[in-house]
Amino acid sequence: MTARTRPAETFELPADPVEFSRECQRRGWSDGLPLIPPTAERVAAMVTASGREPLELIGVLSPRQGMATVEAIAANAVMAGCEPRQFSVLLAAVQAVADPRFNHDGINATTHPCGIFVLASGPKAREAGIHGGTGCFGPGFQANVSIGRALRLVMLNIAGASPGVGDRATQATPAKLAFCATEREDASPWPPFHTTRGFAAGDSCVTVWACEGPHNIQEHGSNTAEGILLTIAGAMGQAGSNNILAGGEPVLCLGPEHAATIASGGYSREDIQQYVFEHARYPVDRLSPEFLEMVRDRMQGGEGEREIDGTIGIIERPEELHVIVAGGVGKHSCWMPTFGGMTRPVTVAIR
Amino acid sequence: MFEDLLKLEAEQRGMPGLTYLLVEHPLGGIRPDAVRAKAHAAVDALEAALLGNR
Repeated sequence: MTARTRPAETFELPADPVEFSRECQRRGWSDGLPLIPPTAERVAAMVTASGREPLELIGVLSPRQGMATVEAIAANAVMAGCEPRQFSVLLAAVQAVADPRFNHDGINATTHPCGIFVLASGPKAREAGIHGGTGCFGPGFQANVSIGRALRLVMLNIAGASPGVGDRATQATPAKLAFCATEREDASPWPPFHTTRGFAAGDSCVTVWACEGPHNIQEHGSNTAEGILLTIAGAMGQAGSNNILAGGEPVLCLGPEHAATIASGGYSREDIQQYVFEHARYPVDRLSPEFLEMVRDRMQGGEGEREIDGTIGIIERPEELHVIVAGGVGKHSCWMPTFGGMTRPVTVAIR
Repeated sequence: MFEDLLKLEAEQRGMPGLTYLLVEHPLGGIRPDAVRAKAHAAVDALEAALLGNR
C-alpha cells in the first residue's frame, strides 16, 4: 500500500446480474449495458493475473481526481466482461490515458465527441485475443469490446466522466462505448506501427488516441497508389474535423487491399504521411471569415502553422499522421480525426 | 452549463469554497458584440466579488 492509495470500498448489491445492472445504472456506475458483478473473488483473480500489487497507483484521473489503482481498474474490468489475460492490456491503456500528453482532463470535459482508441500491438495483444481483421471495429470480438468498454467504465467510475457532468460531449459517439483493436501485421506491407513509436517489432505495447469513431473511406475505382491516396486525402482534408481547427495527430487505418495497392506503387509509410500532409488540405475561401480568423489565431498562438497557399492542412508535419493497417477484405479504409493538437497519442509498454 | 463540472473539480482539488464567476455558455461561435457584452458583464461580476459586493 502506498501513502496515497487505499483499498477499494465494497458494497452489498444484488447478486442477480439483471438487478445488479439496474442498481449500477441507478447509481451512475454503468455505460447502459448489463454488467458483471465485480465480486471480491473475480477482482482478485484479475489482479493476480496482472502480477501487480492491488494498490499500485496507475494514474490519477480527472475530473474526480480518482485514484486508478490496479484493484479499482480490475473491478471495472470484471464489470466490462474482461478476461484476466486481457487485464495487462487495460492497465497499459489506463497508464497511457493518465499521461499528461494525452490530456484526458480536456478529453473528458470537452463538448467534442472523443472516444479513446486503444491500439494494442505485439505478442501480448495476440495473447489477449484482440482482433485486427474483418470487422475489427465492430461487434463480435470479446477482447476488443471488453477492453474498450472497461476503459470507458474506468473513465466513468474512477475519473468521474459521467455524461452531462464530467463528460460534456454534445452528442458523443458510439466510439465512447468501446474502441479497441490490433493491427493486421500479417497484411501490412510496412513495419508494425509500434516500431514508429520507438518499440521493437517483438515488443508489446498500447497506443491511445482521443479521437472520433472511424470515418469510412471507400475507394472502389482507383487501381493505383496515387488514385487511392487522392481519395484518402480528399476525405481527410474536410472542414468539420478538429484537425482542421487545431492540428494534431490523426489516424489513417488502411484496409489491407488499399494498403497492398499503395505499397505496390512504391509508397512507404513515410511517403503516405508526406502525401497526406501535402494533399489533405481545405481551401480557406470555403471557410467562413470568422472561423478562418479563429484558426489563424490559434496557429499564431502556437498551435502550429498549417496554412499553405490558400489551404489549411490537418497536420503540421507529415509525421503527425499515424498509419496503421487493419480490417479484412474490401476496398475500404478509414480515418479517425482527433481532438486536435490539445491531445497527443501516448504509447506504453504492456507489462 | 459547466458549473457542476467546476464544482466537482474544485472539490476534488481541495478547494470546495472556491469563488468563481459564471459566464453563460456559449463563448465560442458567437458574434463579437455578444462576446464583448459577456466580457463586460464578467468584469462587473469580478469587481463585485473582489470588493465583497456579491
